[in-house]
Amino acid sequence: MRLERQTPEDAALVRYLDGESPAGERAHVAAAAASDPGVADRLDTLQRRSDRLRVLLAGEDAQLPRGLATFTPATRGPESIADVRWVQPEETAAGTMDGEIVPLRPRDTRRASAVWLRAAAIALLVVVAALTVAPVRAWIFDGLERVGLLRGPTPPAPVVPVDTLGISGFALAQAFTIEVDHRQLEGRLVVRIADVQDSEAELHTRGGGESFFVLPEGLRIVNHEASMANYVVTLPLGLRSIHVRIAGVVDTTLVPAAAAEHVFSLRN
Amino acid sequence: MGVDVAALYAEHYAALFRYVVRLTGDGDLAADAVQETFTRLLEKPPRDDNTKAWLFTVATNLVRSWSNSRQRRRELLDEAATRVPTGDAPRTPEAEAGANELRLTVRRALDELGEKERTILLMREEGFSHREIADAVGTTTGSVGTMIARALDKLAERLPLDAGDV
Repeated sequence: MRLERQTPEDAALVRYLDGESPAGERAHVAAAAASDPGVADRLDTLQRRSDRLRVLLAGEDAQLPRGLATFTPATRGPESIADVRWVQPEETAAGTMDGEIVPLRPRDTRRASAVWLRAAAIALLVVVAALTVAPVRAWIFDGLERVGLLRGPTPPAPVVPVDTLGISGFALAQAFTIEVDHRQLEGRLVVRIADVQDSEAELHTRGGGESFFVLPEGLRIVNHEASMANYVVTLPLGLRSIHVRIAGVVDTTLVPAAAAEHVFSLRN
Repeated sequence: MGVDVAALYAEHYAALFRYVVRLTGDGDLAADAVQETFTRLLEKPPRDDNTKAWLFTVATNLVRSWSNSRQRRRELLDEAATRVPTGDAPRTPEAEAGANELRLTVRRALDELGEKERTILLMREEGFSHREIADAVGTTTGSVGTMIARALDKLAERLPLDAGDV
């Protein structure tokens, strides 16, 4: 059966959301989402559940020392870990694989003294290394300050780098809708109407997990109440109307008669 | 060729610790697992260049071997869920109770997943590619997406993933 006639399965939808689809599959999923409301709805559901799980997991991180809970967007790399294998729980044989996953053992608190000495040496190394990491250093200083061993200004908060995500060339309906899921802590939406050929959207985030979701007749901005991202959507002249909906409340209609820039505050 | 453990520690400690805490719900066990992982890195470093994936896989396997008893993990979860958070500003007792309840709900929902599903979902959160995840849990790249979708569906039955707000 030809790919175009098949409804994409969950695996393909998740690959699409994670940016892991091969080119042909990506186009197939995008087309299916544009033409089949069921596919668009399933994509939307998977994206929303992923985003909300991220928020809930951030709540789980409250157990972490201060500074370590900050979510930093991880990069996806092409590296292989074929040499490291999954070890079954019941497996007790000596480690033999290249990854040197050594013999599995119960959590044994009776370690030999040599192990403790080695651990102490490593701990020292680790502390020295930790002091080079801003969040860990901040945590240690914070602890020292709490017990009165250190007085002074609080070390600056770790700087989370700004990430940029962009998409372009998404389909344009004559009545184009930009939907923003939530109002946020801070940030704004800029709708730029310009003499350009292609549509374009860009977001600047500090690891908040925001994303774009292309709808059949518009663009959805998937964010959350703690977001601090900025979004710039550039659309060509010639559309009949542009509707901007924010948090399901604000509903503004723009008539793109001339090049212009419209700025919407997204603050709560 | 030796490895620069200090540099690797600085680069990966926070993400690895966060991942193991999420995987187990137990900060103490996570600290032990991460320390043991770096010890093994020092003793017998991996032969390939993907040290990050090696660290996560070794830590995952350690946790699996240590947490084999689900009963013990349940006890740990109950303890962990009532700990005072250190990453947030002080909250009212009511808000604190609500947050603890939600945390416990999240923890139990994660624990209800199969180990592979939980590991896959959390490795995805740490930005690993489907290929890396597949290699780590011993499955095919194609099935990673299916398992992620299935895990999200299961979690949605127990967590407010479809509600208006989290």
